Amino acid sequence: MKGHIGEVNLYKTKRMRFHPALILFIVTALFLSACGIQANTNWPGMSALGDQVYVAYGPEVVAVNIPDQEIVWRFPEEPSRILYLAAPSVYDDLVVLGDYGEGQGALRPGVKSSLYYFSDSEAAASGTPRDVQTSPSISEDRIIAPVLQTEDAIYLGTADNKVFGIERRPGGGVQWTLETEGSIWGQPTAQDGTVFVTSMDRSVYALDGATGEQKWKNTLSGAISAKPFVADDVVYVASYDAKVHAFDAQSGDELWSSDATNWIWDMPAVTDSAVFYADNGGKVFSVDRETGNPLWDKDVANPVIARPLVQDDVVYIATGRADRNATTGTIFALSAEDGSQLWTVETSSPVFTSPVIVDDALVVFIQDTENGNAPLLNVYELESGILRWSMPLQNNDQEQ
Amino acid sequence: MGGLWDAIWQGVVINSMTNGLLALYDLLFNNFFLALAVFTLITRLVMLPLNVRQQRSTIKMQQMQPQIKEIQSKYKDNPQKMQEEFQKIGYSPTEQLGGCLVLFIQFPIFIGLYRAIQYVLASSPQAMFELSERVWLNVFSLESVTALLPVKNTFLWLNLAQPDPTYILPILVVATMFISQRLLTPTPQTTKNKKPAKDGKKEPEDAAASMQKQMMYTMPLMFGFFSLQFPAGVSIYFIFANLISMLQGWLARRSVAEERAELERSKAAKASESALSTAGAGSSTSQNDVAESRPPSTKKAKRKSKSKNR
Repeated sequence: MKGHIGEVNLYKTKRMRFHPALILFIVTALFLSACGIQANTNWPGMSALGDQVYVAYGPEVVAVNIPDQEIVWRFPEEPSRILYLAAPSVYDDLVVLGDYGEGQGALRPGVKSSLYYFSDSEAAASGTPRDVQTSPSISEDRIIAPVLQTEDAIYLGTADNKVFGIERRPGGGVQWTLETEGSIWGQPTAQDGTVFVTSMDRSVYALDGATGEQKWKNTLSGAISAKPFVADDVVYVASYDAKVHAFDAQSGDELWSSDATNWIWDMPAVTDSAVFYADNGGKVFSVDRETGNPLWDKDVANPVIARPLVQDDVVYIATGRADRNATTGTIFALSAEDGSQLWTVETSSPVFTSPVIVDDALVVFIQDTENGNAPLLNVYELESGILRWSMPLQNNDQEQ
Repeated sequence: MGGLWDAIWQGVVINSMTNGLLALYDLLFNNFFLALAVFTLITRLVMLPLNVRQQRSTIKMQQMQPQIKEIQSKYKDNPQKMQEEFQKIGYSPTEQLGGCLVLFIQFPIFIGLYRAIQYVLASSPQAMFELSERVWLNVFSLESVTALLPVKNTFLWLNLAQPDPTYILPILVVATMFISQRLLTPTPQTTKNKKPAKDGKKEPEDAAASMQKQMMYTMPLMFGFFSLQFPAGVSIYFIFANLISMLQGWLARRSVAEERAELERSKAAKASESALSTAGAGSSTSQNDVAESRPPSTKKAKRKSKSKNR
């Protein structure tokens, strides 16, 4: 009789009936829960104009009046599955923003992204934009880079390697398109009718703003996700090649380049005399604006993803995380003169979205890890780093 | 414990695969399609002993079904005898659990691969940052990583970081998975003329066969559906993995058939030897007579073996 019961059970095990649908359900659930879409997401974007900041934090875009400490409008009016992560562009009362791509349905592969246009003041009057115009499905991929508006044109770079020149009016027609060999992650910049575009194909493009014709192209040894900075006929470009390059805006000739220790994610801050940039290795650099010669450098320990800000001889740096388990970030105020630390403040999560300055306040977007990554706007005193106020951004409807 | 599991999962499984994929991309002329093909081949080679064992076991079990059924019905009231008979024909119910084990081992590897492909393709700044955190800078220098990234995500008409809009890859995923499933799931040797059970219910073996048949159709459709949503790079991985599975399935079938033929040949030889010795002991019979006097079952076995070899 030894082992008898066990043996019978074994045979019974073999006879158990598993319904295929149940197995498929378990497999699918495991697969989807384990895979998710995390690897495809991105950090929120933030821009500022006057007293207002505009935050695209995923499910919605929020305009916040900083002095009044109030939310001026929210977009969209009704919650949807579409994400908004590129910082909105606001110029002469027109808000233009791109979405992060919308699935085309279960049986239609791929995503398509659209542009949305509406009036800032009308949105503020009713708390949400009412008359929203769109350029639907303008891109076959996501829109990661913020749109650039000039007086008469809108410039858009997309993740499917394209640059668009669009007529500046709600739902404006596409005037020209240029295809690069890599995704566009940085906002274009314009000066005197020339549009400067950086691409993940490692190149900087200078294009005629009216026709899209290429004036010059300069290829670096690293990819570029940073927006180019243009001032006084010089284009400053930070790259993954651990360098900041200065190019002549007319010819594309390199004037100088200056080293970092690691990848540089976003554009440098430029003053009359110096250029400031920070890298993925946690170092901040100041170099001479004319020559690129090093002035000082400062260790801030953690990788810096957000662009540095400079105002009144103070450089503001917000750090990301040192490793995947890190739950805090740090804001540093450094003297532009010598890099000495003026103040520092810890944030409740790493900072990946570039902060903005509104009057005498530093506005920082935080995804508060202590509260389940709740989106939070923290406003600090520029002088002292003291937290002036903090505002949760999430709409109650979105929370539900 | 969660932290330890996360460290093992992220640090060992996903990061190893991510860096392995990146190293292959570096070695194979910065061609992500080639890197993916070789990467799939390597992971399948690592899993080969387990896979072949499982496939052979599945095929053997299927081929034994008539004998198993016969034993089950004959000794349904005597489990001990049933087990003895099962042992005689080399059937072990626990062996079937081995198949599940292989699936359980493969599943995390498959998910790890999926994540590694997504990380390496890094389709957003956040994904690129996460990739930069995972790259082993003691293996790759910063300069070499800078030269490698971003991975060139275009191949033929495809953006490997996006689903294939032409439906070609999803169709290939369905077709290759269906064929590989078919090769791995031989048609059960159930009798066509078999009458249904008195109570109208299916026999357990019939239910299992029906389930296998359903899986043969639903699994490819399900993965085809996934391919409509997932990056083309993942679909390419599915296709390569299916092609390798097809090859494995074909090899496993051939080796089982050869083994079986060998067994039948040795049985026939033994039977012939015993017939010879019986004839030698009784009278002086010619060699031809011996051949004629072979038991019918032996001839049948030979025919069966020949047909299998064909």
